[in-house]
Amino acid sequence: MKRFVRSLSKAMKWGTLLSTFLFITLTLIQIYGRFFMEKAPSWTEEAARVAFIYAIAFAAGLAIRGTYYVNFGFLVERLPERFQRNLKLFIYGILVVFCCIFTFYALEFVMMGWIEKSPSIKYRMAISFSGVAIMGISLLLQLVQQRPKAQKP
Amino acid sequence: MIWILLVVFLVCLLLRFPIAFSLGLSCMVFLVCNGTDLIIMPMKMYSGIDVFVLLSIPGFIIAGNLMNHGGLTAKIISFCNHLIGHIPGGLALANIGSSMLFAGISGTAISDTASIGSVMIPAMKKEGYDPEFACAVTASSSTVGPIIPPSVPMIIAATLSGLSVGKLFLAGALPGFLLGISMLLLTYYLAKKRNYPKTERSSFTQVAKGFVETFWSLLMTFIILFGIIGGVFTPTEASIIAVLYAYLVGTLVYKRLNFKKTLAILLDAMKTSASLMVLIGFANLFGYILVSEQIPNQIASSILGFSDNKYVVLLLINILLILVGTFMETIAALLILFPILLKVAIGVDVDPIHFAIIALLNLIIGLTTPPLGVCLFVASGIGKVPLEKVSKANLPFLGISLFVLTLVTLFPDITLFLPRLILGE
Repeated sequence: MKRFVRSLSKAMKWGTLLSTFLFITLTLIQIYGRFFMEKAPSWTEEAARVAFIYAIAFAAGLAIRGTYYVNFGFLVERLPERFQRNLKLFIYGILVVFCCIFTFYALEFVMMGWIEKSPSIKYRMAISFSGVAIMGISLLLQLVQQRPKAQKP
Repeated sequence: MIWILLVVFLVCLLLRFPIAFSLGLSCMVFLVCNGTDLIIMPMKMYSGIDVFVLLSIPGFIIAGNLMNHGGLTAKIISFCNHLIGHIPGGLALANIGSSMLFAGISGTAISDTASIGSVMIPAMKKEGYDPEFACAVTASSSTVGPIIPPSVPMIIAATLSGLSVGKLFLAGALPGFLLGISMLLLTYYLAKKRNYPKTERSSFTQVAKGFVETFWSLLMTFIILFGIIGGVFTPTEASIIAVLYAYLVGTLVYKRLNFKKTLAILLDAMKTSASLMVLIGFANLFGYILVSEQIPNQIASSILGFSDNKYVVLLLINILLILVGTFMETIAALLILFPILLKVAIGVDVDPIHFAIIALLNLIIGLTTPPLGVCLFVASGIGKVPLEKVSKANLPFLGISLFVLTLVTLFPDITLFLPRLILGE
């Protein structure tokens, strides 16, 4: 299981990097098209947006590690250490439940996208909506990996 | 019912939930209590981030990080030191000058405090400056960053309100320089009074060499600004050009970047961007709930019911935003409050561009307002000085920032002069 989660994290890292390269490249194609071709290809903006959403979705979970998500800790830091530890576990539990619910509805949202098509490339919107579901899964996965250890009595 | 949303949000914030998830959780609890289908959550998250101009945020963050890791910060500091280091309090002045120049590249205050502070605070301490003064100068001067373009909060304000990013960038330039120059004058006065040291005057060759070394990075700011303002690029395209440019300068000119390092920088920048986008997505949902419950209208009519005098309304908004800016992260506060307060400001005939700069200045000043200003925390951490001492040393700088805010609020021309001159009405 540990190995599986680790492989998925690695996949997310590469997913972030590839999607980032993709949206950078697509925007460069758009600029090139505008200056050196008769007309910039209309699909580049839409495709770049999808790549961007995927890059953000993959990176959202990775950002759980470190201090990327800002919080507001001045009050809690003044409380006893034991309380802080328990609070950490409580926050962790709530976030896991929140991400589970979010991911469940995000998958439902993806299903809705099967009947819609994008305006210029005409791909199914489910492809684009999947970014939000990936975000939920990515957050959930990193939370599982980062679970705080319960203190021994 | 709306109280559920606000109470859960505040409780989550106080319990140290990340701000983005505090927004998401409070919305979820509200929607459940209201009996609304929770599918609205991913829908609003998607519509909040599926905006082309938001692609410019990771673009600017990646470009700033590439430049920073390419050795730019040290070069800017060295150039400023050669240029003004010989004046009393030279290193402190160079610190402010560096923030003004670096502002055009990073676009965020906290990253300015961290990157410039890590070089400048130890150097100032070594030269004999009071450690708390070194921290206060660094924290305060870094707030100039998000006012001088390009600025990430300005892109977000433009996305929220439909204002032109180019106009906002231009509008921020004069207030940003005014803030920076006021800080330079205050520092000079304090340095004279406290007899702070000065460095040896640099030769013309040293200054020229410093300029050549920083030229390539400063050219990036020029390309971004004139590309957007001149209508050559959209903000997103300008940010991607900046990424390409920063990569080429970092590898070919400064020779400090390699493929492996670039991948690490990209990943780090995307994590920062993702945390912002999650915040933007949930704030979009939060905003949707507020609008559907007609809260902006109620707030607008209560403020306008109190007074319909433009200056009284602006004073009330200034007080509210500084208080919020003290407690809340700039972008989160901007996302929640800017659309609501913009409506109030427009109601009393305040130009939206003028108001956007006022709002931004307020929230940025909050970053250095005790007891919770984030930049003060970062600077005191780098300088290993107690926060109370840094907060006290920062009071003159806070005073000067509030003075500039008052000028910008009372005289709209400070903000609107450049957009009118260059882009017309």
